[in-house]
Amino acid sequence: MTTESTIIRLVIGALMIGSVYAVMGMSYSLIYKATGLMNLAQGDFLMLGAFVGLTFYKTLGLNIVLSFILTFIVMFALGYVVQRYLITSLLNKGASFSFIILCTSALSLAFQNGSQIIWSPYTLPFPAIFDTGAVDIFGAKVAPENLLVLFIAAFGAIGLFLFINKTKLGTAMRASALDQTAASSVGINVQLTKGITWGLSAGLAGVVGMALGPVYGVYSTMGAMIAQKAFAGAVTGGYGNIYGAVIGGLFYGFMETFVSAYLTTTYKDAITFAMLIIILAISPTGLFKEKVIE
Amino acid sequence: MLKIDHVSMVFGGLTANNDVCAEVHKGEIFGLIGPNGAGKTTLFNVISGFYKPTAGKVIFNGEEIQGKLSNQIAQKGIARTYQNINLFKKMTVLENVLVGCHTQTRANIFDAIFNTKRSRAEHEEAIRRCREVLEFMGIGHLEDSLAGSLPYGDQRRLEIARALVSNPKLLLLDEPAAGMNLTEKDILTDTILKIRDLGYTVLIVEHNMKLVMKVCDRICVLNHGNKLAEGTPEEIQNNPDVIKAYLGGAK
Repeated sequence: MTTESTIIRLVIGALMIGSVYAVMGMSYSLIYKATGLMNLAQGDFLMLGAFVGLTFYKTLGLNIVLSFILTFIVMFALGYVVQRYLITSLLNKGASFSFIILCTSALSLAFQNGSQIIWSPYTLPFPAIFDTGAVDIFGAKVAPENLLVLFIAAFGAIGLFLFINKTKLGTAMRASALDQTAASSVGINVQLTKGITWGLSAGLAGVVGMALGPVYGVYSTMGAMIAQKAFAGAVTGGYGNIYGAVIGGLFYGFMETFVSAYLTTTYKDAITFAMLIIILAISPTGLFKEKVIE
Repeated sequence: MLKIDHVSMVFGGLTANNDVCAEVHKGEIFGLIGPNGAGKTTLFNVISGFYKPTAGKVIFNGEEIQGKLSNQIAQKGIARTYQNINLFKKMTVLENVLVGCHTQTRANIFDAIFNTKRSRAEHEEAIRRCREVLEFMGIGHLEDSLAGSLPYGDQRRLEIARALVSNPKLLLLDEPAAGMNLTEKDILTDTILKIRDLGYTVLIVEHNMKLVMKVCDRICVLNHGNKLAEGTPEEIQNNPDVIKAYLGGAK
């Protein structure tokens, strides 16, 4: 294998994992912007999406596209229910934000353990989606499933961007985030909008999780590390800034891939998080301050 | 069209509105005046659903709306502006008005995702209507500016535009002239009259007597939460109770 093809392979790998961090980071930022909250169960939405997708695709033997769509719907519903019935009821009782964030942390544990009870405590293999073997891209051999992850994550990120900026509901979401009073007095149902925001970010995470199934296998803690890195990316990009989250996510994807290829695999996570600490020490608001979004 | 039926609003020990009755007819400009703390804005907030009245009913086109959520009331066709301006400051002028179209557009999420013909046609129609309203309010040339960067008078105009674009059956204006200079007030006076001539019904709270007396068909005076008088501008100006309580004999 030539050096160029190695680098191409690494770049594609970095783009794949980086775009996963990017889309997860976007969903963190989206929830923060729309509701001012942080959802520590975001990674577990990804994991549940993988299990749900596995159930549709392998256990029930459905078509892959249909499985993706159904996974999105199931996860959207779960995110919506969590916001409307759990988060809202806590807010109505006057719980402070820190307790709600703790509650999402508890939810994360419940999801992880619940998935072990419902599905399996072991890593479940996700059957290959494509019949073809590795695809040749400029001399580098890449599994088509990896390209699918890249495609889904990129499609999700672009779709989310268009949704927020170009659609009526997206505009309503931004309006509610800016001024709830004014939003409700032009007829926007702010509570419904918040529920949809959570539903969207859970749905996206779930679909990305399902796409990651064939690459990593499906297991109960698969979302945890991904969510931490995505969170690091979101913070690095300037928390609440959805474009910053994309750049931050891609940055950590590239760093992690190249550090493990050329320096060390043992300490790649340590290096990632050390980088986060250094960036925050230098620029506490992240690389792109909140301004960029607005 | 709007009937305020024995409405009382009590906050703890403070009675902001006490047994207030009033009726706004279709097509008129109805003024709500009174000294500071008379309960005008409270009554506005009751009508637009931000407060649930302690007692009494608000009847809009034959339907009781008291205690409904503010977004539901907006859907029924009551649009409002605020004394302290609530714009989406970090959105452009055009986007602000587009949000105001929210209750008007039908396209659902699937139309939006698949960018259907219906959604595109509706969006273009919405933009056309928004530009028309911005033009009407005299801020058409500012459509790409950020709302938060506009001068005060233009922000007020934009807020009225955002309320107007939803084709409300009833338009509530909460101190629209506050902070405006004399020229801006004159323009606003004309604009409010033009809005009525287009067939809208307007309920206005305002401190500027010149404006109120010029635009209003009928006026209701509140004092310490109680209704003091109701009538045409001439009747109000000549009502001894009102002169004593509010105009302070300055007439």
